[in-house]
Amino acid sequence: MDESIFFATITELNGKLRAKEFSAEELTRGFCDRLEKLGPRYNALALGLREQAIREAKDVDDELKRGRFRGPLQGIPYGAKDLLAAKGGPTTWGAKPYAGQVFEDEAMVIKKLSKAKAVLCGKLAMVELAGGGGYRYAAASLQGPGLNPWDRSRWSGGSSSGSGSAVAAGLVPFALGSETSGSILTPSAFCGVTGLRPTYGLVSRNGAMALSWTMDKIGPMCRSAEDCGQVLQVISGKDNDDPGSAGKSFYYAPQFAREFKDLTIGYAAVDFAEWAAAEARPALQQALEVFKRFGSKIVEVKLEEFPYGPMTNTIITAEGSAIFEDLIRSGKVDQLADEKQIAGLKAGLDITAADYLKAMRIRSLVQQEFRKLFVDVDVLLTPARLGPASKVSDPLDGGGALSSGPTPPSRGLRDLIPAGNLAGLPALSLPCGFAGQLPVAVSLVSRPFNENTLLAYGVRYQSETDWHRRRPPTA
Amino acid sequence: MGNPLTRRGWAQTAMAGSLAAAQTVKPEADAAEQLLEAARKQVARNHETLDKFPLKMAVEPSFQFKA
Repeated sequence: MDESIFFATITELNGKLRAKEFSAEELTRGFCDRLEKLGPRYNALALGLREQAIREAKDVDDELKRGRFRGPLQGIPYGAKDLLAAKGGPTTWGAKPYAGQVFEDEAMVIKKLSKAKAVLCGKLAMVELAGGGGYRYAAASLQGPGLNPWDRSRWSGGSSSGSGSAVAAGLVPFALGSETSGSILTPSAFCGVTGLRPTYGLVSRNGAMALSWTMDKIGPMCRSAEDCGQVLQVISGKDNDDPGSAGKSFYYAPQFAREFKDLTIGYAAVDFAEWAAAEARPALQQALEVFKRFGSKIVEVKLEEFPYGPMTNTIITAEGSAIFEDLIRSGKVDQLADEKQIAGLKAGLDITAADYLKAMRIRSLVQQEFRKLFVDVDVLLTPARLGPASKVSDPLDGGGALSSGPTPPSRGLRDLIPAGNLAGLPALSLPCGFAGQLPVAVSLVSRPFNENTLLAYGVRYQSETDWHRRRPPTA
Repeated sequence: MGNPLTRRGWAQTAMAGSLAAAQTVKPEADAAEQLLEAARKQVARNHETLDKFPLKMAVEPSFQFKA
């Protein structure tokens, strides 16, 4: 099978399947071979599911022979972050204490993708327990540190590490990741793939490991914005078994989004010119210039000041420690790989109800401020991460390789990852160039349930650039 | 064949062994204790920051965005 197939988009692959250029079984075998051979190279593979994948692919071939076309995901292989329950083997949550955990039922998102006849080829590695206790090293995973296909001495990002590197290296056409605060956007940006964090409640978390009931979201990591839209359409929707479900569906229809000339993009120049790492600035500035050509009104904005860090930390740690209380009290928490994560989970049991509620009350003010901001602005544009992927051996709490100059005069939109997650807002990460040989990305954030506008901008941006088409040299 | 094993000799050997074990384990245990202490201090710092934030009584906790 030609190497370019492994870097084709969902739409392209589905077209080739329908045109009978290859069968779903051939496609699945090709991706399974690649996932099993190259997945360990990036510590990306948690569990290969070759046999059941080939069975499912044969079913798809039977359907295609009978002319039964279900939709764009029919016969498309994919991988799922190992916090999603799936049949065929253990679901480890990336953590040694759960290495032998087997579920009888499957996560709702896996069921929905099965119904659409997408083919699950493997479970993908992740940071243990999605990093809820706060981890210090990239090695905080049962599979070892997520290695970046663009440079294996660099981290693939977390906590959806395997999802990011597997898509980037052409091991799967798309993957499911999850985000509590940055876990889709970060690996997407570091690995140069397109990642969508949906609005809180749009995608069911039923059958997914819980880290934070009020912040967890599941979303697609793909080769293009269009692919993200196709996957989100399938996995979204009401689910009575997820108490956080918003009861809404999503239909991918960017053609019905408002025209760009009627929309306003908010950004902070200080993010691009001063906060970003020097080596990332040219790519980020260039992306900003491309967005300026779309005809939208561009205005400077800033986020209201809130204690975003302490709020996010208090909420995630309090909820995560409550969720894993049995693990902590039994002492099995000490089997985790990262000492800081162990300590963080233990200390999380000390958080008082008063502090948790205070953080949750301030959270309602954060949402109010976003509501006001989105009266005048439709989309926020910001660097997805301020710099490229850090070295695998670097401690993650060291501040990274950011600007070493004087502190910029304003925080701009620097806090948009915690703030956007606290408010449950959707976000899209788009590869926009390189710092050296490492990918750099911008992200777009919008009001709740406005994914089609984000995707319309993403599709337009990717029609004028080819950063999302670049392949890692080592893959 | 070596010295016969006396109760005193066995006790000395056992003590030396446990001392060696304690010396091996201690730095790791210390590191874990220090990290736990640091994590607890972080919880306390978060408390102090949140405590300083003024809130009106009517502000209720919320997490799901009402459009």
